[in-house]
Amino acid sequence: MNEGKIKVLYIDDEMPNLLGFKASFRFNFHIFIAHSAEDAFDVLNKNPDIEVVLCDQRMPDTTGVELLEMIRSSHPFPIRILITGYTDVESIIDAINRGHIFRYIKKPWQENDILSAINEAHQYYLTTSMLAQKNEELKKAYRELDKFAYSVSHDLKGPISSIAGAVLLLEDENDMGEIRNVLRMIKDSVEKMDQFITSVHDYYKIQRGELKIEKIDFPELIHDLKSIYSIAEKIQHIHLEVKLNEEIEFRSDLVSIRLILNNLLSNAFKYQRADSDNKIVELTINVDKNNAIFIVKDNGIGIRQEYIDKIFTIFYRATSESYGSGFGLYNVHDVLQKINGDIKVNSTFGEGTEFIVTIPVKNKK
Amino acid sequence: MTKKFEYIIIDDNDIDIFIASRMIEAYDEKAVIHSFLYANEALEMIRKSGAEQHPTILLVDINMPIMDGFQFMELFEKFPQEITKNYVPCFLTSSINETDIALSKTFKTIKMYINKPLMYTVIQEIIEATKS
Repeated sequence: MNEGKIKVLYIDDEMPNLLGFKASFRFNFHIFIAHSAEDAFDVLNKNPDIEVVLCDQRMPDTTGVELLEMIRSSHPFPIRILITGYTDVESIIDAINRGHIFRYIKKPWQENDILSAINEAHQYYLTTSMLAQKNEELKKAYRELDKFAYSVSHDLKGPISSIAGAVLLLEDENDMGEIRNVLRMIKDSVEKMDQFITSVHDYYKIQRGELKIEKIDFPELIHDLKSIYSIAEKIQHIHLEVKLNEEIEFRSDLVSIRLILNNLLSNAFKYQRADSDNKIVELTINVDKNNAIFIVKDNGIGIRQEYIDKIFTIFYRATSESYGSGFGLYNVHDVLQKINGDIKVNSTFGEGTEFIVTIPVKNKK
Repeated sequence: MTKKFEYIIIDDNDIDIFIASRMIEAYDEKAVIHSFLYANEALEMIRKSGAEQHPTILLVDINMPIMDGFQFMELFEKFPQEITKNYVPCFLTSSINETDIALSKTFKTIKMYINKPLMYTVIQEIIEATKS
C-alpha cells in the first residue's frame, strides 16, 4: 500500500507526537519514525531511499539542528525539514545555515503546512538526486573521452604517419616494382584506418545504444557474413565453413551478435599463414536450451603458448584504459559483458586459434 | 672519423619497419639493420650479443602489443652498463600523447623522442648527439 509514495522519516523523542504524525499522514506518505538519534541513523541505514527527513528541534541529547547536520554529512540526499516550537529568529537562521534545512515548520503544525512542505521537499530531492546522477554520468563520459582521445591519436595517427613515410620514400623512387610495393603498403594503412573508423562506430553503438532483444535470424545473419567475406575468400584463398545447429530460437541483441561474429571472423581471416595452401575458417553456431555457443576456428598463425595468458591480460587492460591492443577484441569483450556472455581462447602456435563465445539463453523480457 | 653504427628497429607494424629501414639506407647504404616485430625478441638479441655488440642505434616504438616500448626500456636499463653503453636508445613513435612523452623522459638512457615517419636527416641528428 506504500508503493510509489514519498518516503518520509519523522524524528521526535515523544512517542505520542510520532504516533499522531503517522496517523495523520499515513495515507499520503510512506512514514518511518524514530524516537532518538541512534534510532534515526538505524532507519536511514536500512532505508537509504528515504527522501525527506523531518526532525523536532527539542531532543534530549542533541538539538534537532545538530542532528540534521549529522544526518547531512552521513546521508546527504534526503531533504531536511525542522519542526520547532521556538519562534526565535536567530535560532531559525542558525538552523537553516548550519543544517542546510529546506523548510522550517512552526509548532503546533497545520496539516496543510506539512503536506506542502513534504511535497516541495520531494520535488527538490528529485532535482538534486537527478543532478547527482547526471554528474556521475558526466564523469564517466569524460573518462571515456580521455580513453577515446588517446586511442584516436594512436590508431589514426599510426597509419597516417606510415602513409607520410611511404610517400617520402616514393618521392625518390624510380623503380616501378618498388613503387607498387610501397603503394600496397599505403593501401594497407588506409584499410587499417577504415577498420578503425568502423570500430569507433561500433564502440559508440555499444556505449550509447540500448539493447534491442529480438529473435536472431541465424540463416540470414550467416548469409550476410558470407557475403562480407566472399571477397577475402577469393583473393586470399581462404575457405569459410559455417555450421548451424539451432535447437531452439535464440533471442538477443542483433547488433551485439553481429559485432562479435564480425570481429572474430575478421581476426581469423587476418591471422592466416601466408604460405598455407589450405586456409580454413570455421564458424560453428550451436543453440540449445541453456546456451548459444559460437566457435570461430582458424588454422592460421596461432598464438604462442607463453602469450595466451598475456593476450588476455592486454585484453583486460584494454577494458580499463584502452591501451595496447586494438579496439576489436575490446569491443567484443565489452559487448559480451553487456549481454552476460563469456569468451575463451585456445591456440597452438603455428597451427591455429579457436575462440569460444558462450551466451546464456534466458527468457528475459 | 665518424663511428659506424648498426641499427635495431623494434615496431609491431611491418610498414613502419620498412620505412625506417629505407630511411636508414638512404643515410648509409651499407648499414646493418636488425628489425623486430616483438620487443622481447630484441631484448633477447641484446642479451646474447652482450658487451661485444657494435655501437648500435636502437629505435623503439612505444605502442606495441605484448611488450610495449616502456616495458622494453625498463628491462633494457637493467642490463649491466657494459652492455647498455653500446646502444643509443631512441623512441620512434607516432604518439603525441602527453603521458607518453612525460613517461619517455623518465628513462635516463633515452637519447631522443622521434616522431614518425623517420627522416634520414634525423639519423644524422642522432649521430651528432652521440658525439657530445
